[in-house]
Amino acid sequence: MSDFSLQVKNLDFSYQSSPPVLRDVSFTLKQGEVLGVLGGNGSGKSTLLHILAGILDVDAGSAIWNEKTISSNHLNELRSKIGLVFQEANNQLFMPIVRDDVAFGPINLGLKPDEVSARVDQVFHELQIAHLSDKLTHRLSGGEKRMVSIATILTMKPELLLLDEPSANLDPHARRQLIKLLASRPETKIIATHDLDMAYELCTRCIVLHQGRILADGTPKEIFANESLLDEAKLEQPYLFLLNQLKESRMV
Amino acid sequence: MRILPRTINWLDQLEVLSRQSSIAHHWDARLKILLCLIFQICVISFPAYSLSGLVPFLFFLVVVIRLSGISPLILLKGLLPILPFILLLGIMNPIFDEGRFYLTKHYSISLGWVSFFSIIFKSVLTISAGFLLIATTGFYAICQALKSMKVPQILVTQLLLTYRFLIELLHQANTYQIAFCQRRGIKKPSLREWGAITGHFFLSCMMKSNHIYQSIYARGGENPVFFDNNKINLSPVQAIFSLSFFVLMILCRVVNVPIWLEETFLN
Repeated sequence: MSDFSLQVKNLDFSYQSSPPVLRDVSFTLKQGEVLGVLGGNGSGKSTLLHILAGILDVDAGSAIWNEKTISSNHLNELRSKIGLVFQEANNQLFMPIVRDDVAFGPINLGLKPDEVSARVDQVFHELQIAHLSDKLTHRLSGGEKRMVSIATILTMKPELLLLDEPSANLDPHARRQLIKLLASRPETKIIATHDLDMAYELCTRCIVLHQGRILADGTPKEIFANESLLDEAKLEQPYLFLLNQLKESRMV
Repeated sequence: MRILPRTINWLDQLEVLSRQSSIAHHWDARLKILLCLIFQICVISFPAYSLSGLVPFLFFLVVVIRLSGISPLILLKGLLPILPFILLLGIMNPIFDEGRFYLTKHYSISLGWVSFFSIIFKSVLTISAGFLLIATTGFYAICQALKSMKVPQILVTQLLLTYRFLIELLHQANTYQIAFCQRRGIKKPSLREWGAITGHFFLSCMMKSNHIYQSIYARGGENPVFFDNNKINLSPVQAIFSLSFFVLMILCRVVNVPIWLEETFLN
């Protein structure tokens, strides 16, 4: 039995007749850890999450979640354990009404109608979105769509939560609400984001992707202290980190 | 210019209306689908020149409108954009069908005009019935009912996703239109621009459908189930009411009611 819940080894991936998107990506993750996947546009963050969700199959290497190889062949067993929240909330929601969309996952896990209903109500209560239950999915605001997208995944009670740019297009209030929600969730999480302040607040560890390769792997403090690394990966030091540094230097 | 946002709003309005509470809304969705189908078959199967026989079918629409509390204006809003297509369907009839239809001994009109009005009337009746069905049931509930009526799952799922995708397409097309008008003004696009816009529109639609497929796949696997097993909501009152509606519709189809009334009471 391994110490790690997730083991990613030498992953290579390319879309049809295109240059490789991921090259030799390896990392591990312990139960309950929150991993930030950082990197500029086109660095392969979303692709990595799609692979870890079992939607895309790798060209070489492997990804193993609790001793189960992640691939589209095992999707039926994996989808109750690994949940992906898409970058575009519009792509995540495909049913006309919010409640039906949130219930889609549990129905497909083969749960009884009463159990489905109980799970949906519980997640609505936890996320405080019960008032959206009967609304049309395409008429929700950006923040509401994001919350509903997360609800669609949480109803499946995943062990690993994959979030692709969760704070994109959110106003400050909705973003703060989301950070609070994610901080309160016990699941192991992988968050691909450009929002470095959020990564600094939420993540226990970060990896930096650049042109499909891992440039660095460490704690947020270690990563954000390395300016040349951030520069190479087209990132910037987050304000929260700078503020903390300033506070620490004044205290000294 | 405003036709796309209007259409989107109107579709939303239908879905919002379906959440209301009325006798028609609480009716079992399967019965409503059956009655709507029978109504449409009865109307469509009328001969091309039988205009008067269609009039009693208005009664059924009026009853459902009264029972549901839905404004006829909403149905009209939905009919208006379709009306040009209906007119196109029948516009050649008055030209090519030169037979005469005698209203009295001295007054007659061409049979082409009779069939033209018959096409319009039939279309308005059948389309309104469809709109009323969506406005009193909701599209998801209709699909759910179809599935419980043993319609193949693949067809019902296609129907549901097509409806959802249609709304996404309208939104996308509306965004493109706004983006185009902002830079080009209200001038119409040239043929070349039309080509570029349409090509890009289809490519983005393909990407969108791929993303939605991935989302369905991630949560539902290879054989996703879209509907839970809904309980039968059928009461004896509903059954009796539906049966009487059914018998009345068949009677109105078999007997030309206005002519029968004329013969019975005026002779």
